[in-house]
Amino acid sequence: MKAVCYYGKEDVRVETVPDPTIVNPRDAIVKVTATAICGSDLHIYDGFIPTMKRGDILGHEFMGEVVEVGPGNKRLNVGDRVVVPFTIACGNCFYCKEQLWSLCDNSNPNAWMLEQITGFSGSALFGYSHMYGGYPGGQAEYARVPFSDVGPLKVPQSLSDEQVLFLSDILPTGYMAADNCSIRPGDTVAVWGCGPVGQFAIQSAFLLGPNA
Amino acid sequence: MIAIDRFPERLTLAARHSRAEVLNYMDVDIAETLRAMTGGQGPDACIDAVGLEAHGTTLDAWYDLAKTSMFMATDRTHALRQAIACCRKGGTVSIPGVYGGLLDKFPLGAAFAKGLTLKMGQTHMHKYMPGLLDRIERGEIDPSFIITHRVTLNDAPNMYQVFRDKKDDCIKVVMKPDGRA
Repeated sequence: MKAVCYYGKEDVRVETVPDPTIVNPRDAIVKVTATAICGSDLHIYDGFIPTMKRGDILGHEFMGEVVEVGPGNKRLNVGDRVVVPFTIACGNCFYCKEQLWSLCDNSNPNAWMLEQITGFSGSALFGYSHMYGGYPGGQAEYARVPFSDVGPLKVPQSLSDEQVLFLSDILPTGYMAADNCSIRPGDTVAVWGCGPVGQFAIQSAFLLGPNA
Repeated sequence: MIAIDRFPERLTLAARHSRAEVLNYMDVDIAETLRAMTGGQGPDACIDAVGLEAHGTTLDAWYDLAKTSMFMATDRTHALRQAIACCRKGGTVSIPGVYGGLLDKFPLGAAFAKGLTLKMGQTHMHKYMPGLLDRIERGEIDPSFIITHRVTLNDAPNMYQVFRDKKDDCIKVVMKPDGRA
């Protein structure tokens, strides 16, 4: 398949790589119909993210059609249209049970790398270096989705890809940023940065505090 | 809502589509202006949607640039410093922007003295996705308004550069792997 691969600082190439396959029973394979470049992908492009390797597939904002489902997944079916969250969560650990999904204890097989820096590791991320799990990303024709009975959100056919794609990262990220402000009616909120996350933080602040 | 940036196309989008009052930090003193807009008190909450590659016009921003260029620091912290300085006493600084390492000249003293609440972290995606899908279905928000570029996977190498350099008024790039861009 075709995939967008990292080869070094400011060196991104489109390569032909092997198609992903089911590795674990709870995996699914998604045929990607839309994927986006995130502002945080630019941190990789600019060489700020350690433990990237040559040939790593980039991308953590993607959606598509389920084309294969592992035997341990009772939630998804072939043909489902899903948006995949950029954080990978097992659904069973202490943090997932507490709704702190991005702190999942089980999804990052390379947790030891992050522990050197942060003491404990958060969840793995798609296409975001080996210290975040080394999972191939979604800027490709197909992607393997681990714990796919937990993360992917089914979306109705009535909505277009462009309307729902950003549920994969930046819309929830902007929304949580506003949610974390505990906005009360009449509050003044200032946002630094009017990129996509900033725009969604502004819109979310209006949704959460109508007079802000 | 007050939105801060330096790129006119982003500020225009924030004003027209997201209905914010906008400030260009190349034109105005942010701290002074925010104070004036809030009756001298400062915003109740400040959101840093910039992260570790901040730009700025003040001394500390150039200091960050010099130090990270020489691999003597990991993150350029200017936006976060300014958010902490501008926030009202007892307010909240929310950080969706990504930080990676050990921050230099981080004003913890200011955050402490003003009794700020700092909230941050990777998004708890699974908690928010279903509710936001409902909001999209109800028409309360249509996230597609930020898309400026629709391309195929083959265009990725060029689009990374265009997006990084903010060329062609680029705000968001969407790629369709099946080639129907």
